[in-house]
Amino acid sequence: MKLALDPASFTAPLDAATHEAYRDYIGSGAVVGGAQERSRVAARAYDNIRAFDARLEGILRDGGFDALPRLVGASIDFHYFRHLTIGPWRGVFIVHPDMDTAIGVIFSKEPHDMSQRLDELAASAMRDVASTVPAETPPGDRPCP
Amino acid sequence: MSQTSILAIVTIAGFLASLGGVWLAWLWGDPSIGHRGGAIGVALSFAALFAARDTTTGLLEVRRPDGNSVWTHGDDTEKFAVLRSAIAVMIDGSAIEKRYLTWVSVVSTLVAGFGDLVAAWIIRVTD
Repeated sequence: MKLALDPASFTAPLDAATHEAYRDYIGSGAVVGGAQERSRVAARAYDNIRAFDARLEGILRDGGFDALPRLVGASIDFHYFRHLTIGPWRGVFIVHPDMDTAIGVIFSKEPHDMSQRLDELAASAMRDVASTVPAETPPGDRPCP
Repeated sequence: MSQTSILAIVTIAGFLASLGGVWLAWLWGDPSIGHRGGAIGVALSFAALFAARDTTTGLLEVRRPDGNSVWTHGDDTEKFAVLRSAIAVMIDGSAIEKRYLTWVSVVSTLVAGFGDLVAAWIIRVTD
């Protein structure tokens, strides 16, 4: 099983969300009033993100992307997109048809707007591609052969 | 289910049991059963007191994102935050218990002790 995680749209948000969930949990009692309910909600969010991490490690170790549900989208054909959703957290993967290679492209917290995030990702990728292609010289400025 | 939800349900059930016992005693014309509902209310209050509270065990044994214990690998700020939150959760839990259980436990205990007298009085008045 080969899994690559996009550093900008998957790894970084996952790390940030994990640390934020941890801080929210240990800081849930900063104010006494309502501390119990805040602690309960924060504990669940932190447990979920740790379960997400554990599941991801399990899939990487044992395989199992084919068991993940397909991502159903309204405007884009998500045939090779699979998602792992635990609690409010969701990771979206592009999975090769052989189910042995996958790329983690998006990590997000609900409410998930996958179409918008994928569009942003596509736009970002297009900008990267555009920056590596040399700009075309306007016809009038071309030197005569 | 949160502690607040459990206690709200228990409070309503305790009041219904207490008042229902007196109502049944009046309905059946037997004052001796007027205090039984109160006993059920007291039992529910006790059960909720011990069973409904969220514990702070998870908070005190929380693992950092790197998987290590706060107490061995966390800095002082993290340790202080965990302790403060654990204490705050316990105090908040006690306040919630007081809010919900004070009235239902008092009413249920009084009904358990004097419900038969109240039922006898209601039966006598309504006859």
